[in-house]
Amino acid sequence: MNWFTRIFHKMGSPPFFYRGAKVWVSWLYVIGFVSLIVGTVWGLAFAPADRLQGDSFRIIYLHVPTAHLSQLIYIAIAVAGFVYLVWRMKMADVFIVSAVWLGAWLTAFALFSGIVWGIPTWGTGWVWDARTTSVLVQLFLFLGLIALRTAIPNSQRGALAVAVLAIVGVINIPIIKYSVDWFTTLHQPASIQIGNPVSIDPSMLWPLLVNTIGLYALAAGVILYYMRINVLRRERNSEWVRDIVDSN
Amino acid sequence: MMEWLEMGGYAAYVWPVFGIALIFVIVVALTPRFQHKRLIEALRIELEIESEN
Amino acid sequence: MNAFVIAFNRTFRIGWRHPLDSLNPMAFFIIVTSLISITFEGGSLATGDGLAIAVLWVVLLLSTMMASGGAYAQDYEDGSLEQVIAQNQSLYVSVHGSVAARWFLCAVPIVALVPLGAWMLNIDTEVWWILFITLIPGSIVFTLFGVLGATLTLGVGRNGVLLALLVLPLYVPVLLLGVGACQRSANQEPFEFALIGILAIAMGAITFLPFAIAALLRVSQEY
Repeated sequence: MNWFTRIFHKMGSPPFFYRGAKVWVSWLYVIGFVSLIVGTVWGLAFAPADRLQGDSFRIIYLHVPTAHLSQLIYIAIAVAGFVYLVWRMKMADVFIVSAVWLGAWLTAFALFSGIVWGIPTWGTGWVWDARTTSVLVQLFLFLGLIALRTAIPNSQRGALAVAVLAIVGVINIPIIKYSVDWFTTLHQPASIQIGNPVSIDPSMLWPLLVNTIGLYALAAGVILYYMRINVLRRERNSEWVRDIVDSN
Repeated sequence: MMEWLEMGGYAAYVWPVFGIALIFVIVVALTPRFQHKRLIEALRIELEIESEN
Repeated sequence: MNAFVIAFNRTFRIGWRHPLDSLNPMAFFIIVTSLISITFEGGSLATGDGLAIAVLWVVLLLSTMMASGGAYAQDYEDGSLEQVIAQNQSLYVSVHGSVAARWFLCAVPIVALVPLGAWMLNIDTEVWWILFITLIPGSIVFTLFGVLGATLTLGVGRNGVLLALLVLPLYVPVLLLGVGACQRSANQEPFEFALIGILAIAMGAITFLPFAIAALLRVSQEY
């Protein structure tokens, strides 16, 4: 446990983080880009077409990773909000500020790709089912976080407000899923079943896995990069930032 | 090749998604690089003004 | 208990002295309901009660949000919020009192207008009782989230749109359950699950949201 707490404290130290994260960003970018290229080419050109959906199913290689990742980023933001509330750790707030834009864009892309995929597959771009509704609300919550953080420039108050909103929102999302499930059983017959294929052939699964790894790595790299920028911006008056600016 | 580009008749759905994803990935990956450079530039100017005073 | 009563009295008296803060949302409720009623060809909602119920709920939600969005703004501007925070040992209890008063000032008058709105939108009188049963816990949740939004945006000038952006997504579950319960009741279908769901959300919100509101109030004095 000792090494863990030591790393935990060191990560909280801005100069250590700024210097240490640089290598990580480069590696994550390389892994991310290589996997994304390999996975996408594999998925587009070499994976077999789906028996029922034909080639339109290839959108899965972007849709599923972005949808999962956007949800993961929202949960991570809420966890960081909790960490900030309890320990007032500044790096948690830096993470939230750095991740929130990427999360919003990923959510928007997941919605967009889902709509485009839905038109040929289910004959409709949009269905108010539990998953689509919760992802849409997740986008609204991301936009709310961004708007709130921009509206309160004071860093302590803004950080606390964003942390509270993120936590309240993350509790809200499963409740939305349940309530939509209950609500839609009245309105929609079960003819349209939105969901992943239950059993998927390994030849189709591998590109999905590679793309998922690539997207996660690249997103981690981008978030870390933004965290470095934000750390630099916040510590602009300290000695170590001057050294970095001078040496650059 | 043409057959592949047609995507079994789903070209109008598959390619826009992947095209937008490509632009999205490039923009998202490169933006922090520019922001970082701009920030360091701004900090340097701040430092120079400070040292002149 | 004392902190609850003090905060309740304080908030209620201040609200009493600014009646427009309660009356404006009521007027908003009536105006929007009548606009919708006019545009649906003289109030004859051809699709039955389902749409009218949804419309009524959304209008009520917006009015309650507007009404409760002004919570603590007065106290924040004249500096009395600082005293409240400094004096009170249990801010959590005090927030409860304040929210309760806020509910009486902002939500109860609008819920009282629901029969008028339901009549304007031609909702069957048999549905009215279930409207009330779901709207009472529902409006408590709306008020709590509204006050949360108000404390989140304290000191942010012109915060109306920001407040809506922050708070409206949080209203979704209660809205769905409430509208669903009323629609099912209109169709003579079981709706107990939704009622229990709303009550559960209300209990959760009453228990936990004042913690968040109190935490936000404590930092609101930092600039």
